[in-house]
Amino acid sequence: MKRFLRDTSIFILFFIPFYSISIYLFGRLVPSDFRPNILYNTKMYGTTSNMLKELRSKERIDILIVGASDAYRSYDPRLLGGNGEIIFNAGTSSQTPLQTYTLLNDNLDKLKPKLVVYEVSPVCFELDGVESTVDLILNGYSRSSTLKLLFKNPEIQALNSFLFDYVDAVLVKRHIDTFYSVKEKYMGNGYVEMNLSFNKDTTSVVKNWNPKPKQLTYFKKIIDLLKEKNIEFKIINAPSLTDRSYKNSTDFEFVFSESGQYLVYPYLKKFDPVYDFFDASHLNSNGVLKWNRIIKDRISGNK
Amino acid sequence: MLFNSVEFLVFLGFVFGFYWFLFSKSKDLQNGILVLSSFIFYSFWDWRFSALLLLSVFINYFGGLFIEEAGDQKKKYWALLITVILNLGILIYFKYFNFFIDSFATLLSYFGYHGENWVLSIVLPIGISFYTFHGLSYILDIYYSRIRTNRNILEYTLFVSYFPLLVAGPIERATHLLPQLKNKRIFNYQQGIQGLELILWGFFKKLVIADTLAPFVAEFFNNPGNYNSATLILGVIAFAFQVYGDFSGYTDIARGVSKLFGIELLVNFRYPYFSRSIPEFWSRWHMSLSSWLNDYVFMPIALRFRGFGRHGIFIAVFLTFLISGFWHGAAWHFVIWGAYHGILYIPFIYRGKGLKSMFGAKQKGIDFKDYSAITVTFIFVLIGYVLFRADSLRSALNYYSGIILDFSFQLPSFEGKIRFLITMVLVLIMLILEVIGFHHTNPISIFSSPKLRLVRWALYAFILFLIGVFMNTNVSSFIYFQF
Amino acid sequence: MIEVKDLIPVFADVLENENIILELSTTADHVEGWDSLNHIYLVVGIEKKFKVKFTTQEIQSWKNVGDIINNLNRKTGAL
Repeated sequence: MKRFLRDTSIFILFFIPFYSISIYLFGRLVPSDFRPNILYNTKMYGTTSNMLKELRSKERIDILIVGASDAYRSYDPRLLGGNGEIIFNAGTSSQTPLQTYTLLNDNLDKLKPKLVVYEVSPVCFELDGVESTVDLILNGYSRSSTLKLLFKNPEIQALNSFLFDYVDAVLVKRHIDTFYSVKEKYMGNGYVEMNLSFNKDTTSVVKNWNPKPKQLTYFKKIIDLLKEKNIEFKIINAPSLTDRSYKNSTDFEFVFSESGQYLVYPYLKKFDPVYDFFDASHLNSNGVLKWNRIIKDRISGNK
Repeated sequence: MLFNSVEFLVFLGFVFGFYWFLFSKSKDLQNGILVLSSFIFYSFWDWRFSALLLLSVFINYFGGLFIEEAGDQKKKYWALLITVILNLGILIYFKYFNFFIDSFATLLSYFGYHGENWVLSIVLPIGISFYTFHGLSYILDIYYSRIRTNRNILEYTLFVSYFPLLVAGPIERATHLLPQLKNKRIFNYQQGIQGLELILWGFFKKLVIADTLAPFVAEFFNNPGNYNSATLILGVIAFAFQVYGDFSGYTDIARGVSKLFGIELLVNFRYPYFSRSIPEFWSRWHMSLSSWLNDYVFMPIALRFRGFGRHGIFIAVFLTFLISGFWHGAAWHFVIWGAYHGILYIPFIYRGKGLKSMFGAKQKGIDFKDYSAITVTFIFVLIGYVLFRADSLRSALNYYSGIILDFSFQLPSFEGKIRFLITMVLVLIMLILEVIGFHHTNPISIFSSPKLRLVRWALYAFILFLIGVFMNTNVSSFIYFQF
Repeated sequence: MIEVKDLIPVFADVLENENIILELSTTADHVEGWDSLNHIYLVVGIEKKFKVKFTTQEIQSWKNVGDIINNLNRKTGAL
C-alpha cells in the first residue's frame, strides 16, 4: 500500500508539469479546430483584458456596473455620468452570478462604490459559468480568484485555460497582446461599442427558463454581500428580445424582485426590434443612446 | 453519481481511505463499509429506490434459504417459482408495465376501441435490470446446487448492492463474487495498479470516444431525413463505437474501481468488433449478460427441447435472443433486434453435424485471412444497431430507408466534420492499442514489467493528455443506464 | 459401474475429435469445442448411449465430468 501511494503520488507530481506544458505547446502550435478543450485565443475577447487592466489601476469609483455582455455593451459611462461621477463597467462575456460574486467580493473593498448596478441576464443563470471563468483566466484576472472559481466549478476547459495561462504568464512570461477587433471598439471604463448594425434575428424560440441552482445561490450571495457591506444596488434588466421569449418570465422576474431593488420598466415598447438592436439580445449604439437616457436619472444623481 | 464526475472521485477517495485504513481489520468491517457506501452511492441517484433494492435483497436472501432447506423436490421447485415470480414481478412492473398497457391499447385501437389512458407514470429505478438478474442467478444457482446458501446477510447484501456494478453491471455470479467477500481483502500492489489502469482506459473510451460521437449520432438518428445515405451509414458506424466506448468504458471503470478494493469482477468485453462470426460476437460483447442468459435461459430451454434436434436448439436460441432484446428495453424495436440476432444463428446451428464450437477457436491474434470474416460480422452487427439505437420501430425503418433509398451516391455531408474526423482518428488509436494489447484484458497493461516503468508512465500521460484535450463535457450519462 | 472412459466415444463423436482425453475433474473449459451448443448434443448422446433421462436440474448441477459419471451411476442403480 505504501508503495502504491508513493508511486501514485510520484506519478501525479511528474504528470502535472508534463500536462501543463503539453497543453501549452499544443495550444500554441495546433489550430483551434483541433484542440476543443484548449480555448487559447478562441474564447478571448480583447475587451475583457482591456477592462481588467483598467480595473487593476482603479482606486475609488462611484458607480460600478456588473453583468454579462448586455452589461458592458449597454451602459456607456460617458452617457451616464455627467454629475462628475466615476463610473466603471466591469461586465464580462457570459458573466454568471458565480463570476459576478467573485468580482464584487474581490473589488468592493478597494473600489468602495456608492452604487452597484447589476445588469441581470436570465440566460446566464442557465449556464454553468465555464465560458466566463475561461474568459477571466485567459485575460489575466487574479490567479488566486480564478483558482477558487475553478474549484467551485471544476471543468476541463477552465482547468486547461488555467494551466495554459500559468505557463504563459509565469514561465514564458509572454506579454498579452491587446486584441483589436474590426467590429467593436473598447471605449474605456469597461464599455465596448459595437459598430452600428441592425438586428436580423427576428425568430423567437419560446423556451422555459431553467436556472442552475448554483447560480441562484450565488445571486442570493451577491445580494447578501452588498447588503452586508451597506452598498446601495440596483438590479436592472436592459431591453432584450430573447428575455421576452421565455415562457415563464415571471419566474426570473420574481427572483430579481425578491432582492428588493429591482427596477422594472415597461420600456421595451420604446425600442425598435430591428433598428435599436444588433442581435436579439443586445442593443446597438442607437439603442444604447436611448437606453442610457432613460436609465440615467435612476442611476446617476440618485444617491 | 455518475462515474465521470468530481463527486464520484471524491467519494471514491473517501471510501478507499476508510476501507483500507479504518475498516480493514476484518472482512465484515470491509463488507460493512462497502455496503454503507453502496447505499449512499445509490441514494445520490434516488433514495426512494434504496427501499426497493433492499426488498430485492430480502426476497432473494430468504428465497435462497427456503429453496435449500426445502424438504423435497416439489417444495424446492415451488420455493424457486415463487421467488422468481416475485423478482420478475418487480422488474416487470417497473420496466414493462407501460409497454404492455401501451401495446394492448394499440391492439385494441385496431378494433376501433379507444379506452382511457391506463399508462402509469412509473419511474424506472436505476439498475433494476442488473440487480434483479444478480438475485435471480443466486437463487437459481442454489436450486441447481452450484452453491450453498449464504448465511451471512451482510455478504449477500453486498453481493447485490456493490456500488461499482450496481447501475450497469457487469452481471456478477454468486459463484464468482460471493467467495471473494468471505475473505478479508489484503491490498495488492499489482491489483491496485491494474485498477487505476482500467479506470484510466475506461474514462478514455467513455469521455473521448463515446461522448464526442454521441451528439453526431443523436443528430443523425433524430433527423435521418436531413442526411444522405453515406452520412447515415457513417452514423451507424459512429454509434457502434459510441456504444462500445460507453459501455465497455463503464465496465472498465467498474472493474478498475473494484480492483482498488481487492475485488475482481467479471470481464464484460473482449474486443467484440474483432469477432469473426455473430456467435463469437456474443461471446465477446456484454459477456456477463450473454453467459447469464446462456446458463439460465438458453440451457433450460434447449434441454427441454433436446428431443427436437437442431430445431430445438434454434427455438432455444431464438427465444433467448427475444428475451435479451426485451431485457434491453420495453419496446418492439429491441425485441426485433433480438430476433434479428437469433435468426443470424441459423447457419451456425444447421451446418454440418455437431462440428466445431460456435464461438470460434481461441483467437491467437488478428489474422489477415480473418479480415473478411471480421468485416462481414461487423456489418451484420451494424445493421442490427439501427434497430437498437432508434427510439421506435418506425424511426428505425425511416433510418433504413434513408440509407437504402438514396440513389444520389454523395459523400457524407454534415456539420462538424473536423470534430468527427478527429474522433475517428482517436477511434483508430484505440483500435491500434487494442490490437497490440489483444491478449491482455486492458491495452494499457501491456507494459507491466518493472523495467518499462517510464514507458508505462508515458502511456498513462499520453492517454490523460488525450482525455484533457478531447473529452466532451456536454454529454454525461451512460447509455446502459436506461436498462 | 460406468467409468470415464465410457464417455469418451460420445465426446469424440459430438466434438468430431478422436483424441479426447477425459478425467473426473475435466470441465468444459478444458475441452476444445465443448460449448453450450455441443453440451446439448453431448447430453443427448449420453442419454442415448446409457438409456437414461436426466432432469434439467441434474444437468445444470454438473460441474465436471465426475459429476456426470456419478449422476449416471446413480441413475443406472450402480451406486
